[in-house]
Amino acid sequence: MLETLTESMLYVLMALLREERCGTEIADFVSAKTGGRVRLGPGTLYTILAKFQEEALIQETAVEGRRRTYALTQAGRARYWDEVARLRACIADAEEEERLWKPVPCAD
Amino acid sequence: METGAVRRLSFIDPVDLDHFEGYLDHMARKGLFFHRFGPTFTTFRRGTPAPMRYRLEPYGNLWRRESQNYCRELGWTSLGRVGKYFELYCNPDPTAPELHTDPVVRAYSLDATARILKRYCAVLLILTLVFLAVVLLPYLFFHWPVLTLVESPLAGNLLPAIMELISLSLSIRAYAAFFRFCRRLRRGKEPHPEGSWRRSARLYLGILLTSVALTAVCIVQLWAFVALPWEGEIAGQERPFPLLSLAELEQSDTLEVRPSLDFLGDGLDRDNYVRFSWSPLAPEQYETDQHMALPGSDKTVSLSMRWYRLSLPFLASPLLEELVYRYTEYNYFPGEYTVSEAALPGFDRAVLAVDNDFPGQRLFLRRGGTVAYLSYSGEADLLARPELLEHLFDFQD
Repeated sequence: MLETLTESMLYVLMALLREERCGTEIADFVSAKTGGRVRLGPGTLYTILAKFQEEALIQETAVEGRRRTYALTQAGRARYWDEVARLRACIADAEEEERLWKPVPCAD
Repeated sequence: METGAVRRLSFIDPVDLDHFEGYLDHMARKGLFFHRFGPTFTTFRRGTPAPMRYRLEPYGNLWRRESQNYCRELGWTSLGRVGKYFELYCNPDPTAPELHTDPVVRAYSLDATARILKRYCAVLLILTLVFLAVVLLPYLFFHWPVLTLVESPLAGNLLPAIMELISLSLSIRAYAAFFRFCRRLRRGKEPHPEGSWRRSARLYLGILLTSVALTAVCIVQLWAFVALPWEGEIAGQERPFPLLSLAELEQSDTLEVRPSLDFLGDGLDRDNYVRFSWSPLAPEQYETDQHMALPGSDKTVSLSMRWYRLSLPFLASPLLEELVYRYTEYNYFPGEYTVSEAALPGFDRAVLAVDNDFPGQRLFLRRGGTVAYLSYSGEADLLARPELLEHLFDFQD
């Protein structure tokens, strides 16, 4: 059972939010979206895809030769939006703290 | 062996993932590139020293063509199966992304392997417990477990049991390292780039050398158990051995040896005989029998002795207890002998058993790591001759 989603996992779900994609398309999407900050190694990518299939967050929709195409399931979509809501709440708390934060003068 | 190939001892189990990877990375920087893995040796190919990353992935995780193509796109090449559970990948490009860029996800990829290893560890543990039970439990049912242990050629199979435990410790270390690695990955920690494999390798070599040494010790002990013992008549015996002279005990110059019937037809008097045995826990064991009589008399007097010098002195006390029980049958027939502690200066313990129905004495003595049992059928008092007993224990081969 997946407890928390790592950054890589979240971006894989994000890649499937609007359209079905195959593995390498997911990797290209994530790299482009993050400006190269998040790169999915082959072991990471295909482990995430296998794990998400096992958890029924995604499903295979087509197999064309070597390409397997994936799509989000309802559960996957719900899990994605739950994680985004959690992150938004976290960011909102951080921004509120930032507004309240006053720099403390240095001792020297 | 192929030209340009170099073999090295396989001293890190692939199950010990990060140490194995770190070792291969290190060898590549020395110009030795992984070629083939074997249970005893790993083969490398010589080349120009260059950075190379090696990564283990559970076998079958990246078996699909799409995943294989993606690996190749990023510069990762499969080198085939390594051990039972893994496939090895390598990448010469230091800028290419890692095979796994997310440690938590890598932990998930190892889940199935972890389940298999847990089952294997459980089976290994059960088999080890069964083995230890087979070696140790009989001692609970032996009448004389300490005596059996002391006289056994391999210290009662304890040496093989120790070797088995040492061999097991190698496997346990590797599996413990695997599970520790998985826990670190789950916490989001990146694997150590070097993997501190040197410590693992040193420990393995230490354990291997200890196993080899113990094997050699076992072989030597088995040889000694067979080759060193000797026996012969007391009269004319050239080899030194501890002896409490029956003639001296009886204080008679006229006692003559009364030989036994020659059952074996070899002319040897086995009623006036000495036997020497060797075992790792009792490297000096002597057994002597003396039968004598006054000339012209049918009345014989006998003195038998069993004498042990132990390599582990702490076994002397339990051995003495067992000899007392064995030779007085105290546990079965407590009324047959009167058994009492005797005060004998110069000895750690002296136990005297007197047969309630027949003449004679049985004396059990302990001093340091030496234990002796004397069975005497005459009228004299063994305890009245402490100088003879001291002389017996002062024997040095």
